[in-house]
Parts: sequence; structure tokens; C-alpha cells
Amino acid sequence: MRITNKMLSDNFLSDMRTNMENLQTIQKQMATQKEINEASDDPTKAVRIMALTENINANVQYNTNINEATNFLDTTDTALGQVGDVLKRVNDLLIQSGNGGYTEQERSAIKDELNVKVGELSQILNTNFDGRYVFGGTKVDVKPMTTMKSDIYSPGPTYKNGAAKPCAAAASLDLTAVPLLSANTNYSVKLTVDATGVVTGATAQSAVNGGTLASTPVTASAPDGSGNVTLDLGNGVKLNVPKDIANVTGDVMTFTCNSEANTRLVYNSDNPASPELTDPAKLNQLDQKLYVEVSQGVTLDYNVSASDVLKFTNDKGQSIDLRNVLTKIMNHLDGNTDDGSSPDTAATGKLSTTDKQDIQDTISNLLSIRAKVGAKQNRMDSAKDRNGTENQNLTDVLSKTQDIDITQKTIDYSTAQTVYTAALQTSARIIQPSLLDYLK
Amino acid sequence: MAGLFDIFSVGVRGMTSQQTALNVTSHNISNANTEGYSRQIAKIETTRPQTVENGTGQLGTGSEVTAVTRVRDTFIDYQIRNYTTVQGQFTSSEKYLSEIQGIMNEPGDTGIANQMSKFFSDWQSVTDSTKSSLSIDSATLADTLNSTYTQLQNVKENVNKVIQSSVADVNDLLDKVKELNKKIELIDVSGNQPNDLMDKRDLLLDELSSKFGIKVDDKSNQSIAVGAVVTVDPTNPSNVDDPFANSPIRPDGSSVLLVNNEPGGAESRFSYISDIQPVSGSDSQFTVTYYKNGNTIDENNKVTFNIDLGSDLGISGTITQAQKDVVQQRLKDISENRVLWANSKGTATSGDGSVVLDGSKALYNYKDLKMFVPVSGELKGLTAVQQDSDRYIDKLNAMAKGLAFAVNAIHSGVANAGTTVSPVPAATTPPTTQTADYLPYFVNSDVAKKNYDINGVLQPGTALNNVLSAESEITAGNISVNKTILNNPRLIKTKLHDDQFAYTADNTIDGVGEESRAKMIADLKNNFIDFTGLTKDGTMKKRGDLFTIGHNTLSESAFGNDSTGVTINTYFNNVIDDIGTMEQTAKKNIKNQQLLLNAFNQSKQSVSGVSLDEEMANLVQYQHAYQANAKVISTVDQLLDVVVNGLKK
Repeated sequence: MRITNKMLSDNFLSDMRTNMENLQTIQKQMATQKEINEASDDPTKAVRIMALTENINANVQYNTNINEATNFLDTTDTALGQVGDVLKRVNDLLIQSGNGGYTEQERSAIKDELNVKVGELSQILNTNFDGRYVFGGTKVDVKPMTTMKSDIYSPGPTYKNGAAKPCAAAASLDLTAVPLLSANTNYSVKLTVDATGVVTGATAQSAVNGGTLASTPVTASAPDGSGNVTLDLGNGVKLNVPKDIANVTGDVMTFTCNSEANTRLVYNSDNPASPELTDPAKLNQLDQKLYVEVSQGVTLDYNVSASDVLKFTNDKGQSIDLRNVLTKIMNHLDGNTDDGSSPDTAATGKLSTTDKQDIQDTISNLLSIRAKVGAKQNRMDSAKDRNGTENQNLTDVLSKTQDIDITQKTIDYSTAQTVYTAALQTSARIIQPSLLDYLK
Repeated sequence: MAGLFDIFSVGVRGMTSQQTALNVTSHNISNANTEGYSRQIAKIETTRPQTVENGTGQLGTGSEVTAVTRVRDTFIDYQIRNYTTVQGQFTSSEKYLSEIQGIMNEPGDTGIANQMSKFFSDWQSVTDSTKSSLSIDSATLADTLNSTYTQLQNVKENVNKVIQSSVADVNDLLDKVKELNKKIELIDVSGNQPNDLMDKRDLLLDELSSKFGIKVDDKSNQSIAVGAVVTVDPTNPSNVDDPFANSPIRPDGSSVLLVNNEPGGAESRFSYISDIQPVSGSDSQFTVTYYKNGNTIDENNKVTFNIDLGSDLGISGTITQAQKDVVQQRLKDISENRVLWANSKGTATSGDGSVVLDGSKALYNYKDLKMFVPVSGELKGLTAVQQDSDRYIDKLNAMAKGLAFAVNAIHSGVANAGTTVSPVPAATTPPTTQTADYLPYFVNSDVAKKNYDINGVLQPGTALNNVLSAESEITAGNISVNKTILNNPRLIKTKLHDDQFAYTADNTIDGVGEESRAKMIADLKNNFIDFTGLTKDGTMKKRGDLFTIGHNTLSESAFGNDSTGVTINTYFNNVIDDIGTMEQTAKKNIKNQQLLLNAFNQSKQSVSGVSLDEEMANLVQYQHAYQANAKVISTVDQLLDVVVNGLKK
């Protein structure tokens, strides 16, 4: 074959280009530490890298989920421990109160402590983690519990017009919407009386703090046989007014709303006018579970709701609500019946028997809940372990697919460079001389 | 017996021959690096001998240069052109494929895949306080899709410009070849060798061959005829009415030539379609604008005509969907190809040349169109890039659509976008499942931006209904997060029973910690959706089609898989795989073709290239011969001196 100068230089140029390309590839791989820099370097591997990266990203998210849930469970567990402490103290107090030698005063001291304990219980069940109330079911934005005093309304004396002297007979109260009145406030109504002494109507005179009594004059109901009437003052406040309570129109009758009574534990409605939550839909939210995805397709619930702690069925199949139990205990300490409506001589006896039993049932229910929380914590721990292992495996595979072997690339680089230098040297010697050099 | 003067003239002839040879040698040397130059050889022959009567026989009369020929192997030229055509195709398509690959930027930390995994992760851990970062990440995903779409469209526009300049180049080259062809013929007729002109012509043909496959036929007097290799319909190769196959013919029945050696013979050129727009009120008629000879500088070259792309479909009255699809496909093919066969003036003609598309007729038929569909070459590569870009855009669109439909369906719990009413009906007790989506998550920004009120809110009723009905037109280019949500991320529906309420705030069943709906969207990354059905040619057009045509299912608590589909990540990864493989193949092909071309170029150089050493040797050789011839003359001079001055004292 005839070889010309241009062939030599063309060849040299094209080979040099190949050498430079090789060097560039190695240089880029060294600089990025990655074997694959563009999809076209190796489409199959590139797609595998993308899939692995996606898996790792998902796994990192699962890890975050697990950590979140674990911390939530830890908080729950601590709170449940505190609930246990409170219940144990209640139990101790009940044992003390069962002592027949205890005086009324001593029992009152016990009741005072119980009142504080109920408030403490409410606080514990309102434990907040990362802006969420842990015992609130899915209603994580509102405190699940609050406490209320059971308000007691007592009719006060009736005064003659202008005179600060009580009338003879007292009125009785029939109140159906009591929370609407402010606690520890005296209310007074001005009565209108006809010639026979029957009360015909009234105007609200003082309606402090919210003015929830009807301000327009109200007409009394038709008198019964004895001339007694009922005054509907609005908002569920009804007064039963006996005949002859007032002498002339303008006599004033008073009644008081007292909140000196026992503390009750109730679900929180977040409405100061009516703190107890009664809306069934919202009560239902308290029972809803929170779920967390710990790996693909594996979803776990991790919360304990306030009602789990408060409401349960004991081993005898009776359903028990701690809220009622506590109210009952208070009433028993007052020497009243379960609902506190009337005195009961057997009340103190119940304290160390049925009441104590109920509290103990609650404690054992709490223990079983804590056991479940413990089991969930274990499950989270093992999910975290698995997540860690999986992440490590995926990262390992990704590294094997994507990363360069530095040793190998270094050797490749020096090889390529040697070839490049050698090519330059040889070509420089071949291209330079020509016949001209030797013609004189 | 020849005389001394005869020897004298032998010497003179010798000097002349050697001088000519030296001339050729120096021409070779001076063109040693000229592109396309083939070395020339002075053919020195003995002149006619003299017969001597005295029985000595014939006496030589010296030498003369009978021809200066170029050393060239035309078969190598043929092969080089073949491979240049293939090389041209892969080079042009590789250039843009690598650009597309760069636009996708995968595998990487900033591409669509990464944004998508962030989007789904956000849904996984959404709480009231993280809703705003979710909405921003969603907007970022939409923006990334939008900009990828725009960049792919830009690639198409750039390719169009390249096609235009290619068409202009080709016509220019053809004119030059034609000119040279004429000159060569003239010189040849006058008995001379047009070596350098032929080299130039060969070089132009080499250049032309990178644009598309050419056929070169040798004709009389060193002239040539050039034709193009086009796609042939194997079932009906003589059908000149097919706009996308077969060679056109001229009205005289002759097959189309790009360079015709016969004087006044028909020749073809190419024109470039710059624009094609639908005629308003018609589904099959379009206004086509093209520039004669691809020359867009002179507005006089602009020709506009109307054409009915469905003229052969027998459309009567309303166009059917099937006919519409055919028309759309034809429209797509034309806008991807853009090169028209034209007459020598550059005016487009029909396949048989009988109809001239100069805009004089009100409406042309589909068969009047004749597109130039080369088998290979740069033009073919550019068409292929257009097709590839369209395909990737279509796939991205399907992905955006699938994402929007599925997220919107799960987010609202409403399988069909429905019709909203204003004012929003109050929640009933017990709540019933909503029939309309009052808060679509992803919207079509083209329509939505015209319907937001002053606060960036889509009001239920007309504004929202406009947006909901435009949902089926969502593409990667216009997908965007509903501004109503961006302005107030707390509206995002995450709770299980949110499907029963127009807005999540109305939901009284679930507490704010309820996140089942958000988890369903987070799980969407593992759900199978039939994205192929969502492409341009697919059957699924709107949200509800996922559940009626596709096999996905939607209930309050679950989004069911379509087992014939793939996950969104798999679908996207397939697109990347596709691009990567195309680019890799193109690169490999270029490398292979380059090697082959190099080998052929080496062969060509081996035959036609100038070797300086060789020429130097020749130079010395001819110099010596020249000197020797001069010596002959001086010797004869001395002899004559003897005869003239020495014989008589």
C-alpha cells in the first residue's frame, strides 16, 4: 500500500483523538467518583442507579417515620407511667379512707388531695409531643382532657321589696342547663305578685358574667292548685316559686351558683362556655388510630388514646369508666350516694371495697396497655433495625453499581497517559523527517 | 538517417516534457493539503518514430506529454459517500440526543426523579405544619416538568432551523454541482482533461452525500446525473401519489433528477415548510407556509397554500375520531419532516409534477403533497430527532397526566372531576360522597391562570368548572399546583373522610392527625398505572378513564393497582433508559462509521493522496532528466560547431 504524508498525519490525529477521549472519560470518572455520569454511559446501569436511589430515598423517609413513631411511643410510655403513679396514690388514699376511725375532716383532706390528683391525671393525658397531643386520637390539635367542678345551684333567700330581710318560704330550683351560668355568682330576679299573693312573672335584675338570663320580663306558668308557679327564666333556668313567697311586686328572690364542689375529669371540647365534649363525632375522633408506614406496605398503628386508658372492661365483664369511678369516689367521700344526690351511710364503706377494686382494675388495664406500648416499641426497634440493614444493603449495591474503583481507575489513568505520551513521541519522530532533509 | 537538427528537436521535446512533468509535480506539491485533491500524473509517451530508409529501422523522435490525468478510484468514492450518508445521519441525531439527555439530567440529584421522590416523601410525613413545604415541593416538581417540556420543545425548534439551513445548503450544493457539470462537459468536449474541476465536483458530491443518500450516474463527456435515494413503498413502488414514499416523477415521465446532464432537462430542488397551522373551523384543513429552496432570507420565497390532509378519507359531514387521528398523524409526520420536493424554481409540486403548490388553488388535496423522505443521511437524522423529541414529550405528558389524574382522584376521593356549584352545598348529615372535585390538586395552568380570582383562588362554579374540564388537557408543559392550595396549604386534604366534604375544614369525622388520604398519595409511587394508555395515541383521556378504561380502582381508603401498568418511577426510568440507549447506540454507530470512513479515506489517500517524498523524488528525477536533455542540446550544439566551424579552416 502506498503511504502518503497526509495518511500519517490523519492517522496520528484520529488516534490522538481516541487517546484524548479515553483520558477525558477517566478524568471525568475520577473527578465525579462515578462510573456512570450520563444515561448513555450504560443505560441499564443508569436506570438501576435511579431505581436504587429511589429505594434509598423511600427508606430514608421510612426511617424518619420510625424515629418519629418511636419517640411518640416513648413519650406515651412515660406518660402512662405517670398515670400509674397517680392511680397508685389514689389506691393508697382509698385504703386510708377505709379506716373507720377517720373523721369527716380527715376524709375531706383526702378529698382535697384527690381533687388535685384528678387535675394531674388530666394534665398527664394532655401530654404533648412535637405539637401533637399523644392521647388525642386523630384529634391531635386539641387537649383531649379537662377538668370541671360539678356546679351546684342553691336557692338563696328572698327579700322583701327594699328590706334586707329574708322572706319565710324559699324557692326551689329546677335547672336543666346549668353550665350556662357562671360559677360562684349570685343571681337575683324581681318578682311581680298579684293581689292573692300568686307570683305572676319576673324580670331579671342582675345577670352578671354573660347575662344568660332572659332580660325581658317573663310570665309565670298558670298556678297549680296551691297557687305555686314556675318561672322559666330562659336558658334552661327554671324556678319553682311557692305562693306567698313575696308580698308585693318588686320583691327580690336570689339564687346562687356555687362551684365549690368536686373536680370532674371530662373530655375537652375546647369551648370555655361548655368545656365538656359531648359531640359524638368528635368523641369518635378520640378513638381513631394514628398509623405510620415503616416499610413498603407495612403500616402500624402507634397511639394510645385517652379513652383506651379511661374506659375498659374488667375481668368480670363490667365496663368501667375511670371518670365515673373518680366522681363516685368523691361522692362517697362526701358521704353521699354514687351520684351524690342524697346522703348514704354505706358510702364510706364502699371506698375501700368496690372503689378500691375499680381503681385496681384500672391499674391492671393500664399495665396491659403499657405492655402493648412496649410491644409496639419493640416492633419499631426491629423495624428500625431492618430499615438500617436494608439501607446499608441498598447503599452497598448502589456504590458497587455507581462508584468507581479508585485503584483500578488510577492504573487505567496511568496506562492511558503512557499510551498518550508514547503516541506523541513516536508520531513526532515519524511525521517530522522528509526526503527534503536529505536533499542537498 | 536523421540529421543533427532532429536530435536537437528530440532534446527540445525532452526538455518540454520534463518541464511539463515538473509543472505537474509542483502542482501536486502545492495541493498536497488541498481537500478533495487527487494527485495528477503527466503521462509521457514517445512521439511518433521516424523510419530511416537505410535499413536501420525506426528512430525515436523523443517524448511528449499526452495527458495529465488524475489518479482516482471511483469505487472508493462510492463507498465513502455511502458511509458519509450514514455517518451524517448518526452525527446529526447524536448531537441532539445528547442535548436531550442533558436536559433530562439523569441520573442526578436535581432531575425529575429526585423531585418526584421528594414529592412522595412529603406526602408520607405530612402534618398541618409541613403542608406548606409539601405544596412548595409539589410546585417545584411541576416546574421541573414544565421546564423539561419547554427545553424539549426548544430542541425541536432548533432542529427545524437546522433542517431549514440544510435544505438551503443542499440546493446550493446542487446548483454548484450543476455549474461544474456544465464546465466539465465543455472542457471535455474540447479534448481536455478537467481534472481539478472534477476534484471539486467530487468534493461537493461528498458533502452532499452527508445530507442524504445520492445516486451518481456517469454520463457522456465526463458529466454526471445525480438522484436521491428515497424511501420506497415495497408494495407499490410506482405510486407517486403517496406523500411519504417513492420517488416523484416529472410530467414527461422521466424520474426525478437533482442534477440533469441533458441541456434543459428537468431538475428538482427542495423547499422547507416553516409553518403549518389549522384552518379555523376545520379539523382536516391546514395552511402550510413554505420557503422556496429553503431560502428564508428573501420573503418573496414565501408561499402559502391550504391543504386538506383528509381529502382521501371520504370525510362526509362531521369528521370521525378515527379520521381525526389519521389527519393528526399526517400533521405530525409533516411537521417532523418539513422538506418538500420542488421543481427547479423551488416551487413545491405533486408526485407527478402535475400540480404546482403555488397557492393559486384555494385548496389542495393530500396526495398533491410530496415530502422528501430520504432513507438515510443528515436530513433523516434530523427527522428522527424530531420524532424522538415528540416521543419523549408524549411520554412526559403521559406521566404528568397520570400523576395529575391519580393525585387529584385520591386527593378529592372523586373519580370524575364533576361539576361544581356555587355556593358550595352545605355538608349533609350523615355526609355523602362528593360528586365534584372542589379542590383539584394539580391543574392545567393554561386555563387555570385565566380563572383565578384576585386572591388567586378558583371559585366554585364557572371558574372552577373551566379548570376541571381542562384537566384532560394537562401536559408536562402546563401541569401546576392549584394556586388556591399554594396560597393556603392548610386546605390540602389528608384525612380519610375528606372525600365526603367539599373542603377538609368541613370534615367533622376525622381529627387533624388523621392522614390516611395523604398516605394513599404517598403510596401512589408504588401503584401501577397504565401510562401508555395516557399517551397521545392512548385511549385514556380524562381522570375517570383511569377507573373505567384503565383498571385502577378508587375507594375511600385505597387506590387499586392496574396490573397492566407500571409505577411512575418505572415509567420515567424507561424513558431515561430509552434516551440513554438511543444516545449510546448513536455514539457507537458514529464511532464504527468513523472507523470505516477512516479506512476508506486511507484507501483514497493511498491512491489519490500526494506523497511529498514521492514528489520530491520525482522532482529530482525530472530535474535530472531536464538537465540531461539540455546536455543533449548542448552536445548537438558542439557537434554543429564541429560541422559549421571545424570542417573548413
